Amino acid sequence: MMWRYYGIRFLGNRLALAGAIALLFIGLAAWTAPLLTRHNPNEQRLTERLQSPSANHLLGTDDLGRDVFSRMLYGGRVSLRVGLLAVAISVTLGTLVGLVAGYWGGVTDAVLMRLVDIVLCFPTIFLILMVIAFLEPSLWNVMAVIGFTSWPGLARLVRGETLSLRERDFVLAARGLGLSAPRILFVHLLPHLVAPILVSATLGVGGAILTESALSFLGLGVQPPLASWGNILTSGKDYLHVAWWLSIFPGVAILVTVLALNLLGEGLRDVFDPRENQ
Amino acid sequence: MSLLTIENLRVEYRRGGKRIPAVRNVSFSLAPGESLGIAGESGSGKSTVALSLLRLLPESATVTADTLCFEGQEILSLAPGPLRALRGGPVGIVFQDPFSALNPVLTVGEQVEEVLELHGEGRSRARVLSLFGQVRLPDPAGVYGAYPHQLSGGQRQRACLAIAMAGRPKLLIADEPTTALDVTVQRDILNLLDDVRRELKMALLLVTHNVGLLSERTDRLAILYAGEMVEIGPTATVLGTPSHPYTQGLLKSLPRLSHTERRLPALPGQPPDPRDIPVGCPFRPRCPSAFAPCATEDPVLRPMKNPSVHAACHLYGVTP
Repeated sequence: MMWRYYGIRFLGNRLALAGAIALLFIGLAAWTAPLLTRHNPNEQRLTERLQSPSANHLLGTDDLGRDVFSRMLYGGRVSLRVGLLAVAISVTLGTLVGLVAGYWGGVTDAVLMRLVDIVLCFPTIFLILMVIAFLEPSLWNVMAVIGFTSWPGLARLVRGETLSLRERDFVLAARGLGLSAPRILFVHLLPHLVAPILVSATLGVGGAILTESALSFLGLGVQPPLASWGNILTSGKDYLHVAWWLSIFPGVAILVTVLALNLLGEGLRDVFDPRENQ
Repeated sequence: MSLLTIENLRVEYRRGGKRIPAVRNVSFSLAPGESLGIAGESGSGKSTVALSLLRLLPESATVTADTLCFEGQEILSLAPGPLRALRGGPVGIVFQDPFSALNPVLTVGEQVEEVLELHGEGRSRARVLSLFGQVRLPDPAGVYGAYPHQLSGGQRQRACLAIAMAGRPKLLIADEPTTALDVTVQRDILNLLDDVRRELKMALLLVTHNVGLLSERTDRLAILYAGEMVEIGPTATVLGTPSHPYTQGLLKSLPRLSHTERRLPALPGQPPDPRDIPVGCPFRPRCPSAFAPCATEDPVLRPMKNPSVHAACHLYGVTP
């Protein structure tokens, strides 16, 4: 159907394409980490600590003598997973709330949208800090907390789209044919929402990776020895004046990934925008 | 026994705290296999009547009736489950605009199969193709995998009809099924409706603003004016010897090949604003034969000399 047309438009959008290729490259590197490095990311060699980049240690070693290149690859797995799963949670929740609020309207809509307002009122980072302080800062908790605090924006977006979709005749026709509400929501309405959800999810992954980095910087993110780009960056800050490579490379990795995600997200937005017709 | 019985149907829309009556005093019944045309100008409430039968009106509408009964089931008090079973099953519906009544992101075949699955027969490509054959869609296999935008208006309306027929309805409601189509296609679709109705022995409720299209195609004809049913009877009788002054005026204003006048006679004035329906007969301000009782009392439907015709007019005797 439309996907072929979107595919052609996507290939014609250079920024989106660049973002997608960069992400493919980063994802592939993280996925094939064991093939790309022979160093164990957690193996400490105190005799080789704080070495600058060399043929053996491509990106040098950290304060415990661990290979930074290897930690970057394995840390990439963690950071990307945090981003993807957090967004999976937030997309599921946001889409569900938005669809239900928009389709039923009335009291349901009012209650759900006030809930959205409440969640949006909380300064997210403090909410996350509080929750992490009560639970413990593990990979899963970080993911869940980011996911459960980032859905309201998408919920509003989906609700708005649903509000206008439900007035379309095919929804009346579907009701006239005896279709149940869940079927109308998920089979008839959801496909119309794929484009905005995809754009929002792409941008959301970048946001989640940044949030995880910020949490790690405060020591509340993914906990060492498990590597994430955020905590590699953090552990490097004490050695910034003697070992710049410890902070620069994870910083660049985060920057490039988030930039690529944003380019892809903005690009997808243009691809799906019917008014953008060159 | 009649298939559908409606007595004293009344629909009101709530708007800004006010209740605006859109349909009043509508009563009729439909026998199995019978076809009834409902005609009226825009705003006369004909679509509202059609949609209220399946409770498809928006939440701002309040529907009341002494009886709204399909095969012994009171539709207005039906629980959501049985109501869904009725919709698309025993009662099929075809909408006005086939361009927007099909979901643009699903294939046409999928949209028919979905109804088959829902109303008991299960998904079956063969059955979908046979339905497409029944509505005389050329290239059924091609239409099966097509998206709505790949079909023409007439093809889409045929597909909509196939969807409505998937549940083997006993009653088919067609809400202005040809208004959005080209004039040449309109006739095809109406003939098709008539043919499948006879083949499947369905009752048909055909709503339209085009009285000309109804002649010869429906057994009976009902005329709506300002939300009230003013006349109902056998189509040929209503069109040949109309009883109600509104029907008479309406038919005079239709262009005819045999007429040579340059200017068609028009009814003076406008239909009343539904927010401000006059006391008495709603047609009184425009009626050439209005007299005293018309200003005070709203006439009800009563049998005429030919008892198969009912009209709501004081000319034929004041309400006892």
